[in-house]
Amino acid sequence: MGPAADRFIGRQVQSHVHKPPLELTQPDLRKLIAWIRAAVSFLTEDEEVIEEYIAKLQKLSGGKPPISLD
Amino acid sequence: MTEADKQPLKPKLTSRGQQAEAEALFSSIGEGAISTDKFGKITRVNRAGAEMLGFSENELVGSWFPKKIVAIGLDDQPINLIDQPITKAFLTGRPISEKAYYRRKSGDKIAVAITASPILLRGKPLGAIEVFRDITVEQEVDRMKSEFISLASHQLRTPLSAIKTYTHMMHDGYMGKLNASQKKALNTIIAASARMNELISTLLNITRMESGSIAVTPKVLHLDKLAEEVVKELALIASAKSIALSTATKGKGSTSLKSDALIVKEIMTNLTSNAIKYTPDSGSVELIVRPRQTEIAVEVRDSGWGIPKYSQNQVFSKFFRAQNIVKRETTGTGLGLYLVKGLVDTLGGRIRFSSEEGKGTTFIFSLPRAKRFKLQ
Repeated sequence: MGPAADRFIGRQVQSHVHKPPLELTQPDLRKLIAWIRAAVSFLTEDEEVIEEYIAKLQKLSGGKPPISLD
Repeated sequence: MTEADKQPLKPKLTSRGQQAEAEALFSSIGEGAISTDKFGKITRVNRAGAEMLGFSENELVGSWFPKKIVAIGLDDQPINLIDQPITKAFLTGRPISEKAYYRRKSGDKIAVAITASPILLRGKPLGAIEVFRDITVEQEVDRMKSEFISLASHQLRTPLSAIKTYTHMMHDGYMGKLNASQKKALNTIIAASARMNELISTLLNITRMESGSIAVTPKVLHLDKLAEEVVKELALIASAKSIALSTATKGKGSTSLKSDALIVKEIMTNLTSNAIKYTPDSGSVELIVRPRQTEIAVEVRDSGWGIPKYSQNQVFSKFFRAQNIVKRETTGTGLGLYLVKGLVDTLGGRIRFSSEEGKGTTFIFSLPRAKRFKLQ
C-alpha cells in the first residue's frame, strides 16, 4: 500500500494499541481496524476505496471481521 | 465488516425526554458545534456553528464533513485532510485543539479555535464532535498588542541612544571634570539606561517570537567558541560580585553544528546573566558544552539561590519570578526564561533544568546537529 500507508498504520498502532507493530495480536488488529475505518472516513468519501482498504487490513487479522461497534 | 459496522450508530437514548434534552443541550452551546457519525457524515450542527460557517443547518447535515468544512492553516495554506483536527482526533484517539481558519460558504475566512474529539461508546469510535469558536477579535487584539509593543520599543530606543551617548561622554570627561558625587549619579543613570535597553530588547524579541517573525539564519558555529565569547562579555558583571565565571567542554566529539549564531548567543547570554544575577557574591557560574551523537547540550550551572520546588513548574511562564528571588533582586522582569524557551523551540532544541533551593540551578539546553527548525 506504499510508504504513506505504512506511516499511517504505524501512527494508529502506536496511538490506539500502544504496542510495537510486531507484537500485535489478532484481537488488537481487529480493534485497530475499527479506528482506522473511522479515520479513513475523513480522508475519502469513496466507500469502495474504504472497503477495499479495510478488506486488506482484515486479511491481516485472519479474515475475522473487525470488532463490532455495537 | 459486519452489517452493524456499516450502520451509522447513535447512542441509544431511552426516552423522548432524554433525546429532547440532548438536542437542547447541543443547540444551546454558545460556540459552534458539529457532530459526525463514524463515516464522516455530519449528523448535527448547532445554530452558532451554522451561522459562523454561513450555511443553513440543512445544508450541512448529511454532508461529508471535509466537503463542507474546509480548514485553512494560519499560514493561509489549505490543511491536508490527514492533518485536519478531526482526522487527528481519530488518529490519536484523543481530543485535539488547534487554531485555524474555516472557509465560510461565501468564500471568506473566519479564524477559529477548534477542539475535535472522537465520540466513544465503550471505548470504540462512534463518531466525532468538533467545537469551534470565533477568534477573529482575539487575533486582532493580539496583532495590535504586538504592533504596539514593537512600535513603543522602537520609539523608546531612540531617546535612550541619546541618553547613552551623552552620559558616556560626560562620564569620560568630554564635558568637563566631574566630582565624585556627580560621577556616582552618572553611573546610576548609565546602569539604569542599560537595564532599560535590555528590557526593550527582550520585549522586541518576545514580540517577534510570538508573531513568528524571528528570522533563523543557519550557519556552522562552534558552541565552545560561542560560550567563550559569552563568558568574556559577562566577565565584568561577574567579577563585580566576585563570581567565578568559566566555561569548559566535556565529552568527545565536535562542538560545531548548523544553527543561528545570534539566537544561540542570546540564549547563552540570557541563561548566564540570569545565573550571575541569582547567585550570591563569591559563588560560581559555569558553562559546560557537551557534544553528543545527535545533539550538543550546553549546561549553565550556578551555585545560586535556586528555585523553590513549588514554583518550578512555572519557570518558563511569562512574568514568572520566584518568591525567594523577588525579595533579593527587584530588577528582573520575569521575561528572560520565557524568551529563552521560545528561542530554543524556534531552533528545534529542548531545554530543561534542575534546581535545589540554597544549592543552585542548572539549565541545560540542547540543539540538534541535523537542522530541524520550527516552521514559522
